[in-house]
Amino acid sequence: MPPTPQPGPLPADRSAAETVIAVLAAMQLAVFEPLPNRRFRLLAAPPQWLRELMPQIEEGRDAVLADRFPLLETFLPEGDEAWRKGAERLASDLWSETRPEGGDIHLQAWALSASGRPLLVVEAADALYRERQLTLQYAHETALQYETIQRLNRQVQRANQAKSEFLAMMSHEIRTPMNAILGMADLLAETSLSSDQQRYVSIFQRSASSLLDLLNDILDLSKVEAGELTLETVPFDVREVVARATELVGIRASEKGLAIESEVAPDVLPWLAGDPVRLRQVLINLLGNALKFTEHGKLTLRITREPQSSDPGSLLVAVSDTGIGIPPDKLETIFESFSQADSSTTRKYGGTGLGLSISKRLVEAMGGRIWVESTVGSGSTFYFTAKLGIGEAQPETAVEHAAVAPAARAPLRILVADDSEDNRFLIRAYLKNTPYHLDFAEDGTLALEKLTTRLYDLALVDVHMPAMDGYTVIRRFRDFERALGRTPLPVLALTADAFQEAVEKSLAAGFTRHLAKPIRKPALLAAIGGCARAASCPPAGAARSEHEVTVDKSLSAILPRFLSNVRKNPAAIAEALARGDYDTVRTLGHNMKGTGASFGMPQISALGERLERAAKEQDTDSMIAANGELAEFLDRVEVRYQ
Amino acid sequence: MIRKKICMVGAFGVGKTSLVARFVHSIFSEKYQTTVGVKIDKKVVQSRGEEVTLVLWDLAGEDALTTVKPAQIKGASGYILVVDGLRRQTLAAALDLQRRVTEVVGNVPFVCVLNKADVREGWEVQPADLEPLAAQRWMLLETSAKTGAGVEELFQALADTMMQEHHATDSTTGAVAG
Repeated sequence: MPPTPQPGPLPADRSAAETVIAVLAAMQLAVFEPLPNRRFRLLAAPPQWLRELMPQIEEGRDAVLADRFPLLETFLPEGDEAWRKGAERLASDLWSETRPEGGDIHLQAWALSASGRPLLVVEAADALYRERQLTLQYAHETALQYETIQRLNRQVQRANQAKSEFLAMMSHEIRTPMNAILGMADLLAETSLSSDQQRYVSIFQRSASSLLDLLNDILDLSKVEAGELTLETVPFDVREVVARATELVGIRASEKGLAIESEVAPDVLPWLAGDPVRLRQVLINLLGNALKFTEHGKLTLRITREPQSSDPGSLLVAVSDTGIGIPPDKLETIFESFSQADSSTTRKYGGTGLGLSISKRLVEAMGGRIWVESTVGSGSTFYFTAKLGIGEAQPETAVEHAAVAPAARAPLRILVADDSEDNRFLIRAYLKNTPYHLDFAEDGTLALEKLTTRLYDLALVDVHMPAMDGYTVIRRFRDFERALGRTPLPVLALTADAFQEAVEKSLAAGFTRHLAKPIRKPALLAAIGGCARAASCPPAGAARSEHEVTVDKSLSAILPRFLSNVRKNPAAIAEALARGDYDTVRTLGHNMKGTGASFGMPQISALGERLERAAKEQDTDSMIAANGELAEFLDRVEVRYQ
Repeated sequence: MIRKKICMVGAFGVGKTSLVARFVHSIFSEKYQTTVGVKIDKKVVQSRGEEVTLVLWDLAGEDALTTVKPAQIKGASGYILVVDGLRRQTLAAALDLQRRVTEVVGNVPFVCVLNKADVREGWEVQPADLEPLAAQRWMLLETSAKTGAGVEELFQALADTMMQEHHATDSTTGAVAG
């Protein structure tokens, strides 16, 4: 500690001193003067708090204050500095001590220089403490609340993700057998049946369809709730959407003897921009709902411009029925999930009550609102508004409607890879009356082997298979095609995952298209027809004549085995190239060079020689080119024995 | 008697004050009370047959505006890094603090505690987060100021380690413990 200045004389005016002491006591201040050896002398009577904390302290007595107040250990060196400089005053940090009888006391120390005389003041600073605490506490509590919200959000997101994964899995588990059930029902309906049997089968089909609708509703709702619903914005013809929705519900309505009237006001623009699929879904939900609760009368669908809006794309849709109506106290809750006006409704009228809930979310996503007006016994009108954009007229495209007439079908060679025997049987049955040649693979490994060694025009590959899943199959196959410089084969993913993510995953892996199970016959035929056309792959057999090889018939017993072995080479070479293993390419080339001609195939010998030479020269481009030609030759070669 | 200064450091709201209140006064309050400045408490413990006065410096939790002042941790013989298991970012704050405290006091004994073990099921801090610390031989303990679980053990463990250091230093410097 630096040398401490000696105290000067105390004030002579006693009354003034007494006044000062009284003020100090009132202000809860303890005033000390520094002495050598870390000691301090108390100058005035100790305030009450100091008596509590240091019972032995008295006026004029000195003590090592830092022993009682450890915080002063950190403050006093700074205080010494301030006294030495004659600084007017320096405050310590606030600190708290526990009172002997419990509770805290909050203190602050000051290093003062009064007329050049150093003084240490310790004061009870409860008020200042509370003031600072209030500010800080408010900031901390706000931050903690914010953190809690963020944490809960993260938890909700995790839970939602788990739910989505669970639903995707359940969707797969349910859809796989549904595929077989629906398919078999469809196939059974095509056979000759007695009228009783026809009735049973149609109930069978209808029930399976209802179950599938229900499954789709649940999946839809879970997506909407997870906030994963994204609406498209594409130009569409609103009248076409209305026609399709009424057509679909119309079939069921006519079974009940009900008519559906629809009207789109003339001032509704013909082309709007939005999500036609979701708009149609809402219309179907509302019409389906109206149909369910109506026994007599009719259903009406009216679309007008929204009167409250000047925006030409804003629509007001009204779906009216002449059904049982909804009690006033239920008008609000019917849009909640799993909520029908009466729990007995489900038993009497069927359905889950999810349709209205989904519709509400969809309408809200379209920037609109949905509500209902109803009179018990005379019917209900559901209204919704939707804010759509203005679309440009689209030229009619023939792709969607192009019928895949059996006569137009080329005799495609199709590989079907699916581990489920039922599904393989179903696809075989669906394609029974087509000119397609089907080949089957029961697992992923076999599928990849067949894809890389045989020539197909199209493949259907289930994504969930044992040994190797469909995603791996397609990735490896696409690598193989790239290495050989081949035109990509159209490969359709078959999956029971109905989520958009599953579709995106399939496309990202390299599939041409995604078909969700259960697959119905028309969808399968359309997909095959569409894909085969889109891929512009040469029709099967087009190049065959160029690759016809005439071989001595004495080789007929051993040539198939030779070809089968050689057909494995392009894949093996592509893999070897991928890992830079030119020795393998050279060995395989060498072997083919030596054997091809012996089996009556000099083309194989020539390609083998090219591969061997390119491998020796480490000329990757030539190896890829020669391997491509080899694969092409092996794919196309047709052997004729003479 | 031997006196040892221990600093409680960590982000705001992790439970530093509650751990001291549980240890020194055997109390716990659900109400969150922000600490301003420093709260100082003392407790005498037995370690290796000797009495040690632990002087606990409960420093205001760090936030965007408040940082621990080097002067306040100077002279500490040990410190406790407190992490709120529910809030993952308080672990990152503790790691940063450990580095800064070491710059001031050197490699003195410390314990990293994961507080709020009574709500362990809601913790964001995962065992994998702690593996690198365990690999660096950090002393890691779980505590609950609310139930008292692990609190005595925490201070006792730190006191014992400090006393071990204390005697090791004595034997090398020949100084007499005071």
